[in-house]
Amino acid sequence: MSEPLIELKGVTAGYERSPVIEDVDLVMPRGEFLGLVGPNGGGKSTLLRVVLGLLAPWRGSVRLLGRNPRRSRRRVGYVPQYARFSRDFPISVREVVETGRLGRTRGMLGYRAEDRQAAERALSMVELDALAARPIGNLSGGQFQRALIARALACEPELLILDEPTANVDPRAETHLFELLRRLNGYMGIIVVSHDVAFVTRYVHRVACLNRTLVCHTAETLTAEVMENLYGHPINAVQHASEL
Amino acid sequence: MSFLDALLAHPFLQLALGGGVLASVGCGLIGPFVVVRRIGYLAGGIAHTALGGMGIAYYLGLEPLGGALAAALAAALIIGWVSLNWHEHEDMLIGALWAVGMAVGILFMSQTRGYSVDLMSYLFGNILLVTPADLYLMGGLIAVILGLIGLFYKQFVAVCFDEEFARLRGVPVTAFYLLLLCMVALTVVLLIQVVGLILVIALITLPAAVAGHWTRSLAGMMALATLLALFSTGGGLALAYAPDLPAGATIVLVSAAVYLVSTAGRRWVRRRVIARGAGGGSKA
Repeated sequence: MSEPLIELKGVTAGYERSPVIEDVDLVMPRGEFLGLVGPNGGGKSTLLRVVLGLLAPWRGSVRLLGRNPRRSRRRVGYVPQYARFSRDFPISVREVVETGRLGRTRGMLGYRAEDRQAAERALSMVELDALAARPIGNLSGGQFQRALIARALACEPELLILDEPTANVDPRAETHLFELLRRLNGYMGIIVVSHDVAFVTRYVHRVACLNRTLVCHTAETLTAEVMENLYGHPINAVQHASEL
Repeated sequence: MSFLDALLAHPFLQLALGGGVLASVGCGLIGPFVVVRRIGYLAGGIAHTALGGMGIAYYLGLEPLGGALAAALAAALIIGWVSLNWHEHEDMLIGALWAVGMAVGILFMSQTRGYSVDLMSYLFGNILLVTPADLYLMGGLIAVILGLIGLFYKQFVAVCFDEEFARLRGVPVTAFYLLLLCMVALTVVLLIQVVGLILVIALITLPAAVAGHWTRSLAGMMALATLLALFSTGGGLALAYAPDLPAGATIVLVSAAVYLVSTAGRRWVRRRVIARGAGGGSKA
């Protein structure tokens, strides 16, 4: 089980005719906490879709947990940026988390006892046990985010991928979230997509900067110059990078 | 003679009520999926396309409900395929299929003798003409729907709730979506005899939408929607009996009235909850 979590070689992908990401190489070892940053439209979501096998690359090879992503993505927990569902859907937090067991549970009839236990464990990991019976639409932004993380954790993933998890939560919830991710990192590899470079560099081992092409830095070597090259203008991450 | 006395005296009314009960169960099971997945328009397309199959079957001297079943299932697959692959033209294509299905049905029926009476009963239902054979067919369709939901409830919930996540978890989303639309087609056929295919959509969506006001799970929504549909079909039938009104129409109007009352009631309850919350807050 020592194969890397992700292995991308020369990956080019996009929609219609123009490539969104080009010639991307990435090897993510087990246990790593990786930050994926870059400007809007730089290809972060496209890269995730390729990694998860939702979008076939034009060129290059993609291995997820050593296999074709379509076969291995059941062992990956995914937390989307936008909830694609309506908040008034009649479903409880617990039921949402249980859907994370699909792919690990039996194909027919209801969830088994072990699925319910896994869902409960996921709920307590994100400290939502007390709210498990609530309708999903009744949660605050931060609680809702944690419910989606619990759903991703319910499949007991080897890799957890979060797309802009802090987009709709307040700063206090953001800190809380990253402390949670740091704890989870003891059990699994994590990728966090974020535009908040300053914040991310405090927690991750390595920052992958994506703006059509991908450049990786350890958090310590992320300098002002690098950031400027990436975004094309100075940004406030600079201060923070020098603090490190 | 009151409706209840008549019900005891006349077997045709008992058959009608039996048809109403089975139709209600069908609406209660499928309606919640149609409402939460917001596919009322797709369901409408499936329902109206069924007329094409009925017309052809009628012309060929076959069982019209069999024709409706075949056409509705075909329409479900075509509409599902369109909505998955040609999403940007979904509106136009479903509207076109809707009209083409009806045009085909009317054309074939016009070439068959005695069509006018039957056309009306297909479009608006004639619950008083339910036969024992119809009840068996309806019972069989209910059994199929109930079995599929029992086996795959968790997949249907996941696909309706968050399609992309379900796909990532290895659920064959396309297959389940098409299966769901096929179950809508079965429900449409179930309801044709009771309210007719024009009014089908009201009975599929209204009780489920009301149930959605008051329940917190899809299963709860199904149970309440079934009860509400029973109330609407029973109430509509009773209202129609004495003045000899078309039962399909009274059934739909009863369910619409229930929807209005429920919507108003929910607003009232919410306002009270908010008021009480504010009162409790000031005490603390």
